Amino acid sequence: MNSRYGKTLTLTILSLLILCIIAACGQTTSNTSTSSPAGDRTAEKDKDSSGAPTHLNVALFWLGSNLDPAEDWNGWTLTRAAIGETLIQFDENMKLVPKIADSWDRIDDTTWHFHIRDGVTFHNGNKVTADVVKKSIERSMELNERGQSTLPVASMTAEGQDLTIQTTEPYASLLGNIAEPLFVIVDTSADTSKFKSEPIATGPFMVTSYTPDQEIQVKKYDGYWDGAADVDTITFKYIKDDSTRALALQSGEIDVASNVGRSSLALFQDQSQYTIDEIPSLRTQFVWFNTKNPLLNEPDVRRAISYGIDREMYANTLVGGQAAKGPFTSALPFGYDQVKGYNYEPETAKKLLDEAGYEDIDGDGIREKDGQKLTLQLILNSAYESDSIVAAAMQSQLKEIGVNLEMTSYEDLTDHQKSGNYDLALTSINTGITGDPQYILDFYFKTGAEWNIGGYSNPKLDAVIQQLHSEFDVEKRYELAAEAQQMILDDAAYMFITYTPINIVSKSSVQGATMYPIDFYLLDRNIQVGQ
Amino acid sequence: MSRYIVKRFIQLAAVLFGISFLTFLLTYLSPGDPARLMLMSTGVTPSDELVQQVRLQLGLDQPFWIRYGTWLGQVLTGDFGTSYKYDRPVLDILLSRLPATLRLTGSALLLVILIAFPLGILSAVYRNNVLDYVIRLFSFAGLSMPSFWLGMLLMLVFGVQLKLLPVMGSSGWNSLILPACTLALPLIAQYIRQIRTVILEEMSQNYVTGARARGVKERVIMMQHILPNILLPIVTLMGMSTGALLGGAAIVESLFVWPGVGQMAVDAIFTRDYPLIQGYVIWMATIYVLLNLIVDLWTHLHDPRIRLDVDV
Repeated sequence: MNSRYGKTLTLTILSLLILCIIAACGQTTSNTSTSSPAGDRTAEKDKDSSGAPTHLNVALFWLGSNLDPAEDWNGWTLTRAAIGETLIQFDENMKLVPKIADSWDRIDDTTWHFHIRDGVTFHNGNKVTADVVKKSIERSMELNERGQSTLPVASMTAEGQDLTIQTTEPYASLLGNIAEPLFVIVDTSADTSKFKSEPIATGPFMVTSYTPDQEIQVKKYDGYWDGAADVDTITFKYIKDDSTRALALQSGEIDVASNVGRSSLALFQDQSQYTIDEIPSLRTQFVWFNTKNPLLNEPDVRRAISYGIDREMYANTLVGGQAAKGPFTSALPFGYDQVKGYNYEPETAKKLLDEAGYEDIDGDGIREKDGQKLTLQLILNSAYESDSIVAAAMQSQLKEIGVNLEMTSYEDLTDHQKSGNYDLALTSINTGITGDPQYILDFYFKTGAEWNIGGYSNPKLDAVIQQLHSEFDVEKRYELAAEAQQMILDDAAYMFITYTPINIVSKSSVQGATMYPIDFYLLDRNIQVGQ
Repeated sequence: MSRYIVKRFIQLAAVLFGISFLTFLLTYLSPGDPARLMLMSTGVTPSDELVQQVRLQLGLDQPFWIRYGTWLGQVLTGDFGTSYKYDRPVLDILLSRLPATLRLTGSALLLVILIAFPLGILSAVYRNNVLDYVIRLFSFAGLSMPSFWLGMLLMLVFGVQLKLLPVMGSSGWNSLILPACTLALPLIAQYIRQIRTVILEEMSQNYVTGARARGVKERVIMMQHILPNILLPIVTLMGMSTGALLGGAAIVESLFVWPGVGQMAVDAIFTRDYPLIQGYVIWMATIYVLLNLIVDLWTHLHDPRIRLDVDV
């Protein structure tokens, strides 16, 4: 009996010891990796009094694998956190504005000139010259496939503050592409192997510590060319879960969050406590018609379906945002005002179907022609809540005009779309990523284009898109884009539903948190914490 | 006994081999192309050419057997591959995530031991008394609450309303409280019921009646006879729950932005980070098998009637 107890006791003590050691190891290891101060909230209260350093806690909804802008999409984090800057950038109206380059012009079809602003310095104090910019752009192109495909550079020459870029072909969307955060300008003369955790860039804030997958801490850079920021330090915390982000905002652990879920947004309506800035994003929710299906080969059937759904209602009461006309949102200057889209006109829809010969003969509410019922298969992405809501609404509205929609959701639509195994495919696409209409028109709507999976073809549209390739005048480009959009709409080759909203919610004590349509940006030097 | 341990280790290898093959097969068959998902993570539709490049780079163009063989060969030399997302060795990532999970697991288990044992014993001793009903009600409620809901409730009450504790993150000891409680509560509820049942069972044994007849005090019976005897089934149960907890309790870690292996596993699954998923599964399987082994050895030490080499 005694020896049994002895063994048990020894084993128990041993187990407890191991547990304690493990827990202790855990504690120390994590302390070295997380350098965040324990009492963020109390620290923040102190600062309000006066003179003390100001601190902000900001939630990031996405954080890449590291901080080197030349890898993957990490540059987006750098521009959002105001750590890195590109030569030029987009403003709230999606117009290009100067940043590190204070002026630029096109010398001929393939030659661009940029003047690098005097007095810009990196976080290590080094001066930004044209030569340094050239090396930074070359580094991004070398390390990232996206770099080569979006900037067809033949050669670059640098002289003093003047940078000249020669492209291999006339390339009108160069300006928009160089504004992509992949081309955040970094100091390549610094130790670039450390850029994964400490990139040396030019923004108003510089990285002081980075914990992969968790947080970035920054402090203001006193040598910032546009004047040092007001806020002294910021902690960017990666909070992926929508509900947690909203709860952390409510509990006061964070001061600013973007992409707050639609269902949580109502919690922040109290203007004495929070400020909400909500605008339509560059994302368009849209439907491909598979024109290889004989039912959908008839433009009138597609038009009827387009008239049969109430976009205004979806946008106003179901998912937010704005009812869509064409592929490009009103936030993009691509001729939104000149385009005529589809309204909710169920009577017109019914008339069109009548004329096309579809009638409900057996009285089950679904129209048929030659014995074939107007039943269509809609596929959608299960990850997007708003897509599911809209799909359900479409299903019930289309039933009223005699069209039966069957829905299937998938985690990834790609295979089904590419194999043509669908009739209607619903998804959301960012249509303004390069700040220019050409990329999307080329990619989705041209005959035989890679993502023209519905088999739509209109030679006249192809000609207009082709014209875009060599048109450098910005206003004319937008006119051509409007013309192209109208053709797509007249053919009802696609159905555009809503422009997805994006938002930024901040405590009312924070000023200067503005949402940009393109979500490359989140904060800048103007962010302030009120006294 | 040493022969037994060697046998168990051979078994362990076989089990791990089987599990690794199955998961490799399942991830291979699951829909979604990691190359495409990697590129689409920011909402841009990548060109086929770009996807193809990435596929080549990741070796995804190779047939299943070659991919599995290569991977297995590397694992045997201690190389678990490189994560697609982080471009870092899988083993490094796992090891950097483990301390957080261990801390959470340790705290949750401690809570279970500190709370479930006294309550379970009280519930049995005062069977069908008011106290018993209250404890059973608590345990019933604890069992019925899904952990994500419980977690959000705790966040809402202690973080948002009372502003006592942080709702997220892993900075400072106080950020440990809510996730640990979320993990521990359902377990506590389960253990209370278990402990109560086994004690009641034990109390109806003849030796207890005999001891009572001899005038041995109730407290002595409980401490010296009943409790040592009920440890056996409870330790077996604890072995299993520790395994589950070390696996990372994915939902709780994701909800509280707790940087452990569970959150990592969820991320890896979303981004189809095959090497990381494989590494995680191997880790999980190893933990389960090792814990089982430890529990078996413990049981043997405690009760030699359970002979080890018989049931091999």
